[in-house]
Amino acid sequence: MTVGTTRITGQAGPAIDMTSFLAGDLTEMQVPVILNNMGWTYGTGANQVNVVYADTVPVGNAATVTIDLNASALYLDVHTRALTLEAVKFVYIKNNSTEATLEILGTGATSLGICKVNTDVIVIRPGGIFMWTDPSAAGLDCEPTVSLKLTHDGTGTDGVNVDVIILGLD
Amino acid sequence: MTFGTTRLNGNAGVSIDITAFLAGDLSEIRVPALVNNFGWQYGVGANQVDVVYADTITLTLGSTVTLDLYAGTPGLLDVHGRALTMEAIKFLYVKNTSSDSGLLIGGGGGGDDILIFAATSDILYLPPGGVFLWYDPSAAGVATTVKTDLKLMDDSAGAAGNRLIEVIAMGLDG
Repeated sequence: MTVGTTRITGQAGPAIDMTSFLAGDLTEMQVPVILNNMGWTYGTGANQVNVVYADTVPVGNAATVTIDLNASALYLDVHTRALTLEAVKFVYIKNNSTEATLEILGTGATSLGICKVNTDVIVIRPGGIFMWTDPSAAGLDCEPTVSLKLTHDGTGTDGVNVDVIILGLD
Repeated sequence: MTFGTTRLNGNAGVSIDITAFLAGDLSEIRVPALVNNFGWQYGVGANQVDVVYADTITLTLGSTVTLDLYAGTPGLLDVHGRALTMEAIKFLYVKNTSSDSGLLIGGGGGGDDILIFAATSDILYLPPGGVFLWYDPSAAGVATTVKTDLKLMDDSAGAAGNRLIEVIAMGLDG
């Protein structure tokens, strides 16, 4: 069996369809806020990716998990091949804990460059999510050794399952 | 005319419906990755908000705009045209529509930045065309009465001219 050609189709991004109402005596103001999702296709150009990582990562109480995005034997893409991302274009992280806060990034020199400084940390509250996109052709470079760090803040007694979806270039 | 009761409903979050295909000789592996959108209602409980701010902010080359979500400056209005007095934030969407300049979010360093980062000096980089979305669905959200500011900075990487930054924030009204 020859395993080769890969296709990717679909949408991944923010989707907003909210309507806010303000009542008066005889009227009601309705203000819709609508934002369409973002399409991705297979390839290496703008708005294109060719590898998908999607997994639920368990992080123990007060523990840290560091996902090596570029040269990992432990983390696999959705087709169970070793993850060898060379650029990242889409990151989605959900903290499924009901009590613990998740801190992401801040690894230092090897940190995925979503923040201006590689020691900066983003906080995802219980039940919260973080999403970031770079739709450019190049994406965010993650070679030679770039990682995504997930840290449980120690609140409560349980670990947390973290949903992680990353789209990028292989 | 009496303005009063406000309703709000809908979905706002991340929606993912991506399918990755891997072809073999006679078969093709298809792996879908699905994430449903997130529902919000009117109120002050979990998964509820009662104020929406949605606007496009204009930055110029190298400029900074600091949005005070609680004090409603500079001239911030909610979607109904009322002065913005958001006391807690639960949802934030920012899109950098520039094609050549990056956007830096947060990092005022003066201690007034809303606490979506671990420290008030932390800064998110949003590349040209990039989107940042964050939410906290808890009843309390993240208080914005003391740490009030959302700082947007152009990184001076692009050409001169205006950059349009889309901002949508939802939370609790003061």
